[in-house]
Amino acid sequence: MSTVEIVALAGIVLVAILGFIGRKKPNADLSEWTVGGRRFGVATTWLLQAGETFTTFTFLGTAGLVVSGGAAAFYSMPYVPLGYLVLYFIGPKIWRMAKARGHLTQADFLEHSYSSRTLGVIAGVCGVVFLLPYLQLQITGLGLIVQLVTGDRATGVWSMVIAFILVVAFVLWSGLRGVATTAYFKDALMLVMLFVVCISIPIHFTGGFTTVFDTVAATMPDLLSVHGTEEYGIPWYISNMAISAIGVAFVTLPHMWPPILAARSSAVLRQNYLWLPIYNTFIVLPLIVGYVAVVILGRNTDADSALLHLAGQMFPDWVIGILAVAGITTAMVPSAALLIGISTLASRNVFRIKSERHQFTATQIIVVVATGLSLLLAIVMPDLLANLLLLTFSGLDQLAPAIAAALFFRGRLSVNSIIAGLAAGLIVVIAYTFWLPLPWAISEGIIGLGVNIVVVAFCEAVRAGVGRNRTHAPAESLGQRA
Amino acid sequence: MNTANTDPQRVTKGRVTTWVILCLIPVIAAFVLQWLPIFNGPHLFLGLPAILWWTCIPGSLLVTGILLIIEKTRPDLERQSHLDDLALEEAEQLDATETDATAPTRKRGDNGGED
Repeated sequence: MSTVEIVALAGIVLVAILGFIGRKKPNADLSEWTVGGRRFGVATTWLLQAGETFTTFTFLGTAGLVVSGGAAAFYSMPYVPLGYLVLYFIGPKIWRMAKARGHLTQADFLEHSYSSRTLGVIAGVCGVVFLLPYLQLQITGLGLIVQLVTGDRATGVWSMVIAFILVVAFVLWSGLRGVATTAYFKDALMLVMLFVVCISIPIHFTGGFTTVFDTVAATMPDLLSVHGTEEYGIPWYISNMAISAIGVAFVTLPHMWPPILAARSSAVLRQNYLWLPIYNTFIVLPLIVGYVAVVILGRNTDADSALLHLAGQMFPDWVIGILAVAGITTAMVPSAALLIGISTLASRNVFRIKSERHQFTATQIIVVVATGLSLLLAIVMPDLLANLLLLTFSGLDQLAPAIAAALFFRGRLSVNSIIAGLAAGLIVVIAYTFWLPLPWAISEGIIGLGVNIVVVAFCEAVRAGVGRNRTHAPAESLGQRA
Repeated sequence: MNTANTDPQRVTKGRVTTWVILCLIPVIAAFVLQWLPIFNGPHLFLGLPAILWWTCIPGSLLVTGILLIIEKTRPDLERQSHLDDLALEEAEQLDATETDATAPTRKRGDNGGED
């Protein structure tokens, strides 16, 4: 085994050990397993929420997006803080409603808010179907990182298998608490390595940031601005930033709910939303490395491997090994959170298992099945779910009107209008993703959301016109008070 | 008289308007400024792409500044923690009801069933 392989393997095992020490004995309660007993403080909640910002995309995709689209890649920087502007106000409301009613999932929240089991099932199915490809992406990303640093595909495959067997093991043992303990290690290592790599690479190859950008300004000035109306143009930039910010603001990704519901109090959430935007600015580091890659390797380089390729040319093997471990943790930790989100949605909202004990058992089985399926597809047919992945963000964003209306228009919108809007939005997103050309490269999610809202408004207008089907407002919920 | 004006724990409409205006600043920076070539052009500002300074960094750093102003000036912090306590009480009542109930499942709210 090479030095890189030994360090990478040691890193995978260390993450698993940290996951296991999240609990002294195995979990036996679904609430404890999914939301950690709702007792997490500022630091833990912070890392769980920040953890979703820094995934394998930070290591592979961000620098690569600069290579492909130039300054358009900057859209990935402001959307999270813009989402927190809204989440600062609605996060505490969501937390209180969930606390009072025992919600564990996004679908629980929607089901209770609209008193509709049907909406709960639809939200659960959407969550499971759209998150599975995202899980597979993390697995594939981990394998790619190991393959890039070792130069051997077989090692990449073995690392995927070993890492995800260990992820399943510690998730089953400690649930969200295991994710929390690994998140400490992941964020610390990732930040250190991002600073080391992203500061030393420009200095080593070009003499510093200034030289990099001076060279780009002189030779490729089009990479410094967002322009035009084609792909990576201004409409693309704005619409992608908008749809991503809406997703963060209304927590449309179901696996983002447990970190919110796990907070000890609403004040914990507010404190985090104050400071998380500053933490998010670290994403500028891989963006700068993207420009270095363009200057050193040219615009035709393999975008996703740009950061690791440059690092491989200047660091010794043991540093590359640690860099690989940092990348591996950005796949393992979010995957653990995804597994908790997917399995809880499936057992509670899709299969609707009644007994809490059986629900917990089913959740554990689903963790194993979902990981096995994703792992198998990542190894055998890595492109099978690729098309579905295109729908993950735009598709789940179609839940935003339902969540927003539940918080701001309680009891005033009919569940039928919400379901009709959701269905219309999903159909539009699917049509534009696979068949129709996008006007000015606008995000299909934004078009779908527009149609979604228009359909909801139309249905409500019809309902008001005929003056019937008044919805049953659920009992006053604390989170919905001022 | 409006309750909002008499209860010091209530957030007044004027304060909400101020908050909305403050929150619009980073939104405008992120979504509007790049239509202006001075903020989004093929040139550098302080050694970095201009768009990074004018639309991305405000989108991140300004949000913290604005939320800090809101947090430090909001009059309803005590009310927020009171609402947390009420949620806790409701959760405890729900747990007690479940313990007493014959069915072991956790019922989601009063109207957990179909419409």
